Amino acid sequence: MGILDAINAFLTKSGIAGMTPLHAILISIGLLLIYLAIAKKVEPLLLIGIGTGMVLANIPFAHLTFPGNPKLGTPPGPLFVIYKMFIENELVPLLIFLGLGALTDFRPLIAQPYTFLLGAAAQLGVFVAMLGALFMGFNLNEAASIGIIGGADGPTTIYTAVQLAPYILGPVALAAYTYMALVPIIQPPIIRLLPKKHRAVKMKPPREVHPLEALLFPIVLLVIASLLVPRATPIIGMIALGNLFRESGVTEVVERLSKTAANELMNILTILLSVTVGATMSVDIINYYSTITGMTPAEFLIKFALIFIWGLLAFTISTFGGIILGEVMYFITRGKVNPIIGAAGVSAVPMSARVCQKEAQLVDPSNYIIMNAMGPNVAGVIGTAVAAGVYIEYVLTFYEVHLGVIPWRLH
Amino acid sequence: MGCAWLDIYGLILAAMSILQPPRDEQISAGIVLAILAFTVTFLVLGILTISIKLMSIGVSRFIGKKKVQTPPSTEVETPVSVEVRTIHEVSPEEVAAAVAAIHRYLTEKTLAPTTPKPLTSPWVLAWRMDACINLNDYDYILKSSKMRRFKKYLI
Repeated sequence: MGILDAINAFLTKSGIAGMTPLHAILISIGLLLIYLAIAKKVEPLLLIGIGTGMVLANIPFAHLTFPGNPKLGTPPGPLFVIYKMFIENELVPLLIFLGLGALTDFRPLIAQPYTFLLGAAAQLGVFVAMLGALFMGFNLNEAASIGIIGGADGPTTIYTAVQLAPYILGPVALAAYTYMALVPIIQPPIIRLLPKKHRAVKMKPPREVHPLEALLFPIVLLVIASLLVPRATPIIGMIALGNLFRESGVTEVVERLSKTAANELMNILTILLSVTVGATMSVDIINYYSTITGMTPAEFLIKFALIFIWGLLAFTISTFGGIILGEVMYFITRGKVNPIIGAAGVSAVPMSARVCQKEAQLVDPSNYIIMNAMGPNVAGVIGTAVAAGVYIEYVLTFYEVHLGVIPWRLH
Repeated sequence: MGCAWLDIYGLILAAMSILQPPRDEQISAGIVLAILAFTVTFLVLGILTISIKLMSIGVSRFIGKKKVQTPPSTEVETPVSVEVRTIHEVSPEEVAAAVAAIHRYLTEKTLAPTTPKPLTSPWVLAWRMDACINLNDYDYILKSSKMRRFKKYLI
């Protein structure tokens, strides 16, 4: 073997030689996400990891997300192993809910329980977008995963997509987190459709909540929501457990378990989740799922773009749903409820509550509704979890009854 | 090239295959799912609204009862006499003096704080820092006869 042959062999094994247009497109998207995260501060905690995961997983011949070939004895790539171990079996999304429960203060919701209904109304986009995507041509499982983007809750979206359509997990999660970061841009024009007089309503600050109420809340939530929608139990259960750590009042539990769940554990999981979700948008993973579902890479790219369009619509319709019920409450209470707080029902904690506060202050700088808006904000998390539970139960049953199998689980 | 699938024609074909509506049974199932999910979400959150309200009422009653059950204190409460001060007249001179005093106070308060003069010269300070880092040198300095005169700066 001459030196030229050796150089030639080396070059043919280089990443540049193995680069296909799909690799290039996905790497470019990854780099764009890194830029947006660092330069524009768009969800930096997640998008840096997702973008880097995308770039890493799409380096040709690096095979970081290669599924492995037992017949040839080729081991799977490290990112594929992480995906299988932590994401596909829903471990990381569920543990993230534990951290969210430990982080979330449900007191504004306990003080104003009627805001639960605003959290339910702001799930409108979840249902409308699901129907829209279904009519456009997406399969039922894909449409349900896309609809959940309207809940504006990243971990719930990931949990649902992993259960119903793992092959589009990357685009769905990316759309959810991107739109959550764009809440200050998406929501204000919709909120400003409300009459100025209604937006200027000053609400009473929520009453003080007794520690016993805060302690009983996760228990009541766990029992009622889990009994009514058993499929939502993993999500609701973890939120309730995390919140119970927080509100237990036992110094050891609060100081050790609650703080660990809300800080160190959450940070570790965020790293794992973001990099692995980014890695699912790789040529290797697309090929892996195309053998199971028959989806071609070109179809994946088209779906990628359509998911972003439907995600935006889901988000917008959810905001509409929230402020429509807010408006209804304004009339029922004869002007005691500021309808803006309905927009906070789309989860995205605490960003959408902050947007509500900002919009209220645009009309009246002395108006403070942020604590009132936090009620529907955290209710939205529970609403999305319930909707996700119903979707998962129904869609899995549908495929089991009609096809006898769940196609994307045949591996 | 092994990426023929990514040409425009391929993308159009892919879009066509996606945009074909799925079977009727999927659409009818989707409509049922949307209505079901909407109803269940409202129902569950509605039940939670009532439950949390009832819980709050229960807790407030429980706390109220607890407060009632506490034994009354045996101490005899004595009424505290409150002196009602008469407002005395303020002369214009007193007002002027108060304004001047407040003005002086605010002026002095807004002045930049003076930095205290350092007690140790910078080179002695650097020497001490170095001594802290390297104990052997510090020992040497303490023991050496030439440096003994600087000992007072070191401790």
